[in-house]
Amino acid sequence: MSSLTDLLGAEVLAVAWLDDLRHPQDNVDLDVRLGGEVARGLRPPLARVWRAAPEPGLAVSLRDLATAQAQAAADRLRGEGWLVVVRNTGGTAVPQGDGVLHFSLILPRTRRSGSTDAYYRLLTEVLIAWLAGYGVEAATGPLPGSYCDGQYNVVVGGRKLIGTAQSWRGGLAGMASGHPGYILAHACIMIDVDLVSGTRLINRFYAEAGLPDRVRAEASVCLRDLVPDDVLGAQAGSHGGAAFVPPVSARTPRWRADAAAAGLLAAAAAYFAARGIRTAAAAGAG
Amino acid sequence: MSHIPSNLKYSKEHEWVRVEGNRAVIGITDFAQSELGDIVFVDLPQAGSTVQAGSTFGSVESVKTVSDLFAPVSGRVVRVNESLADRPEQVNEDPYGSGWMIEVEMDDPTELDQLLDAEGYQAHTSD
Repeated sequence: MSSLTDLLGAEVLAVAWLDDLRHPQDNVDLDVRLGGEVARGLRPPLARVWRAAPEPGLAVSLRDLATAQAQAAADRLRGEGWLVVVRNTGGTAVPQGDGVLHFSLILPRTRRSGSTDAYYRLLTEVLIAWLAGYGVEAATGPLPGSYCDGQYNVVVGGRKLIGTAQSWRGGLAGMASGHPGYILAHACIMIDVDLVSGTRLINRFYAEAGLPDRVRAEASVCLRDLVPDDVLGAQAGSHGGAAFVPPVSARTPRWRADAAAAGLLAAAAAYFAARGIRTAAAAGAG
Repeated sequence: MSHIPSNLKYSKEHEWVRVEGNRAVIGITDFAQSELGDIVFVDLPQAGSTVQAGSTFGSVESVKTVSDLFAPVSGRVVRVNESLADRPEQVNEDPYGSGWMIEVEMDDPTELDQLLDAEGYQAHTSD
């Protein structure tokens, strides 16, 4: 069993909201750049909260784009104005757009790094603690038919709210390596998304890519459907975020994502502080 | 107990090397595939590209985890196991056989001296 400091590689963790909504692929790749800095000891380990770029579309993995047919399918979607970004973790396609929030643990690889399961447990424990603050009871488990399905989905009431994936740089996952590297444990959270449209786009991509993956909208759920806006806004406000609940007409996916991000940022800092980890605001992504 | 053939060389990053003249056939070890679990995708360089000892040459995806692959020797990639695109599970089923990844024409065969023999790799995985 790895201790928390073994997993973090330090007794201090930066917790920060860092995103770049104007450059969607750069926004995704920022995890990689920050990971390189963490690996070289240029910045402390980091818990990054970030919003997806506003354009609706998909985040796909390298595996999704491995064939020429799949690349052509992605290009067709882009040609129609959909956003298709490529992420560096494993798994399959997930919806993107306003109302999608991401959470990344970016940690240095050490000789005492634990198993992939240990990092999945850490990631999901933070998220489950955050949801508990809204009164939402969540658990982990597989959910066939959900986007990017896996053992460490975060599930609420039998439907998937959060997908997770990992990337290990500097050597093979879970094994000793003499190279510096980092571990990216990543979660994609559906805050306020049109899941019918999102899953239809995923299924279209896989059909045109000639791949067998298919998903069902009803397997997933958004935070919007679980947490009333006044609770979302109050939690954000109590942490110095969006301190008011706007009129109904102004409660957009962006507002909900912003409120959720403020709440998650505070919940993550509280989770680690309660376990003896010093937390600090991160320097900018520079 | 993982299988460690005595006729191969090994890197500390869990790649194996089978030397055939000036060429090195490279894959990941039985220990590595066992630790990673089911392999679902292998991203490899194209034939004709070059790899550098100690640098990444590709990645391997097990269940929702992507990992770097490190080149144990430097040289030009002369052959790539294209069959892994359709059947990546060969890395699990036969890591030293049909699960091989790339074949490299070595720039400097003395780099092999930096690698472990089977006994050394056995000790490395027992650490």
